[in-house]
Amino acid sequence: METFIEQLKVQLLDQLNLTDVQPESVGFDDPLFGDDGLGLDSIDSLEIVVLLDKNYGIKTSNPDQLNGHMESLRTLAEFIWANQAVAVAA
Amino acid sequence: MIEIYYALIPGKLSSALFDQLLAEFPESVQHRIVRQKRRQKVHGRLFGYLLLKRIIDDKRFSVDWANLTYQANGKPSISRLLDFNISHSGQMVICVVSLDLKVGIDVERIRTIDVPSYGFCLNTPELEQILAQPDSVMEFYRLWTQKEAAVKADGIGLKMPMRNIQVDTHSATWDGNQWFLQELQIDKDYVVHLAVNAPMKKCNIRHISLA
Repeated sequence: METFIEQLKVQLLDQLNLTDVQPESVGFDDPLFGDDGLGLDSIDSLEIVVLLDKNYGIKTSNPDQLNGHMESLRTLAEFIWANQAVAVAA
Repeated sequence: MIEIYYALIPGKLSSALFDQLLAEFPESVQHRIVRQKRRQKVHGRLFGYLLLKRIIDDKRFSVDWANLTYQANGKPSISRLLDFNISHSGQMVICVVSLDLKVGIDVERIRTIDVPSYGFCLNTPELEQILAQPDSVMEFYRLWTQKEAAVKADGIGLKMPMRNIQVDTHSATWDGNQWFLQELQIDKDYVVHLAVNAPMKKCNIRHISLA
């Protein structure tokens, strides 16, 4: 799982074009939104949904289903792990 | 009264100037500014608070910065006598203050996006209407900033499913809440919307050079 979260981190920073962020500065349990973490905004949350579809085949017809799963890289990874159609090589 | 100040954050901000601007605030606010991990966000927050401070100073409002808090719903507050809201995207930061109204503001830098892939966040009529427009990207950002400004004014934030908000030409509504909207045409690379809890009065808009 740790390897997968590291891979997801790189994908996320790339998808969101966060060129000012050093990957090693982002912890697996840091908040993705709000003051203390990456400080992502609502448009960024849409890009995460696009990433889930593009990279993992997870289609989100109802964004509410992601409530509670975008809190950190770890919760997002656990959501992907539980929902993706194709197994991820960890 | 609605006062709106906006600024463009310089691409390069020397550490000396950053420190000088940061020193305008008490330590508790400085801590709130620098706790962000991303430099871009730190600069956005610093400039947002600087704009708020300029409005407060220019209008001679009596405000104690030690009272800057975030309400349980996430909306920042500094005094029960005034409402404010700040938004930042790309190089632009914008701040709105009102003494008698609840206000929310949202700015988004227009980026090239694949609108249909964002369809999940819209209801079907909205998506169809946007895709029928010649500039669907602009129309998407216009609708998004309308909804975002309204949820920021309300304070409900990301907890509100955006597809459940109904938007017509001048207002956004959900669950009996109605917010009045106005587009602010400030810069061709950005879309900005203001949301207010009463029919729109005149608002004063000023460009501020901070650095």
